[in-house]
Amino acid sequence: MTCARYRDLIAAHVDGLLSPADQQEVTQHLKTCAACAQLFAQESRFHTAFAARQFIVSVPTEVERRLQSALAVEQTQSPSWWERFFSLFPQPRLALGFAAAGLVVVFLLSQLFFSAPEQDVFAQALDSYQAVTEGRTPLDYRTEEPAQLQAAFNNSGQIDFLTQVSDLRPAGYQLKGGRLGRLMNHPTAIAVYEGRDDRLMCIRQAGTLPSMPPDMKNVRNHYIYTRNGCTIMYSQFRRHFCLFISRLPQEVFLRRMGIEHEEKE
Amino acid sequence: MHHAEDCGTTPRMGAKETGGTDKHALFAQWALPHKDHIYSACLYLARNKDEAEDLFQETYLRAFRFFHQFQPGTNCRAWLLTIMHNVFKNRYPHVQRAARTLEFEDAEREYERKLLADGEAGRDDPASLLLTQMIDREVTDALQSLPEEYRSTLLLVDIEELSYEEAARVLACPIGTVRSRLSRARRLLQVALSSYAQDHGYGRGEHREEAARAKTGTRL
Repeated sequence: MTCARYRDLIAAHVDGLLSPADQQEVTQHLKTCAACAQLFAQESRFHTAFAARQFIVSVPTEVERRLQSALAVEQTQSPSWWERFFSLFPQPRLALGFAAAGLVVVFLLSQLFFSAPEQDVFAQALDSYQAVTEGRTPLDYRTEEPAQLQAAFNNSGQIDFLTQVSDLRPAGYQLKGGRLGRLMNHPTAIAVYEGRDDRLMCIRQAGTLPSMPPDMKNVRNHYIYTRNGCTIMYSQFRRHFCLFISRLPQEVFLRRMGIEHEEKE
Repeated sequence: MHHAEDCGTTPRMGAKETGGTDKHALFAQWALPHKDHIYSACLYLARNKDEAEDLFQETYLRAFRFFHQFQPGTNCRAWLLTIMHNVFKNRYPHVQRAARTLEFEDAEREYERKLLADGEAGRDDPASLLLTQMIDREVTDALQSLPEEYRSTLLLVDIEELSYEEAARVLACPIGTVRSRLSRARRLLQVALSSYAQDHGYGRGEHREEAARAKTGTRL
């Protein structure tokens, strides 16, 4: 132990509050170190002089009167919820730390349960689109008749809602067929269309999208945004939602689908 | 050194069992007797009298509000000092503690050198003598000049007579930290007293007139 470390123990030594082992070590050191011995002796004399002084002063009458008045008012009130919360912690910084940690946990959970699925649903939809349009995933049904595909989907017993299959011929898209799949682990009906310069996929699933990316534009109650060079249009129906995916730019796609481009800020 | 086993905290009725006027009566019985100690602590901890009076009132109001949390049988003074310390930390965050501590380090080393030289020359301890000669306001000024973490530790152990364990709980730090801070705080106080004495002509007779003038005023 260095002299500096021994000097950290001066107070406890003077107060007689060192452990027997530390006490023995300090006593031994003082026998061999004149400088520390002198500082320890000085400390002891100073502490005796300090203890002899009276440091406690009486509360001035005026201050006490103010306190009694404030206490009388306080008796009629009860602590607010945040004061109760803060009082649970011995240190205010602990309470703030606890609150901050709580916020971080809530944020992380919200990311896990809300934002992450939103990211995944689009990522999975795009993966599915690429797999289908590149021929890596075969179609379960091959038909150019929307009514036939719709009936096949609804009679399959593999989806938990009554789906629709849109006839997009007026927009220049011919139905090629469809398949049943899973998106975010939920049953999904997928219809595939072909246009003159584009392949379009329509994914339908029960329920609603938990949340949407902040940069999604609302165009006549269709929500549209671009990701990985693809245009994704989200439409909500009463019991299910639908995602259209195309490689056309947003404006071209909206015009082709007959949806006027009116952005709402 | 006296420590706080004698703070009178064995209630006839637990604070948790009470409400309304009972709460007020118990508070008066257990918390208010410590008012002089708490007021003094506020004076030494705060930088001026107005701050100290605000701190004192806020401490007692909070203590009253949360008196149901006071554990009967524990040290009521330590409980009040914990509240005071938290209020103080919340109200007056001191951002320049490190700078002040460094400022003292050089003076501390210089003081130790001087002390050892005085000892070798057979001269008396300057700080111990000064402590007996100085008036309260001068000692208070020296105390208030210490960096906050050292001032708090010295205040809790040497003035408020808390045990090291109780002081560690109030300050929310390990007991070893209390032990080393206390050693340092006592040395720094000697440095501060010495420096104060030098600035005010102690040892040259000038201080007596100043002390006489000061004694006519208030203690703090």
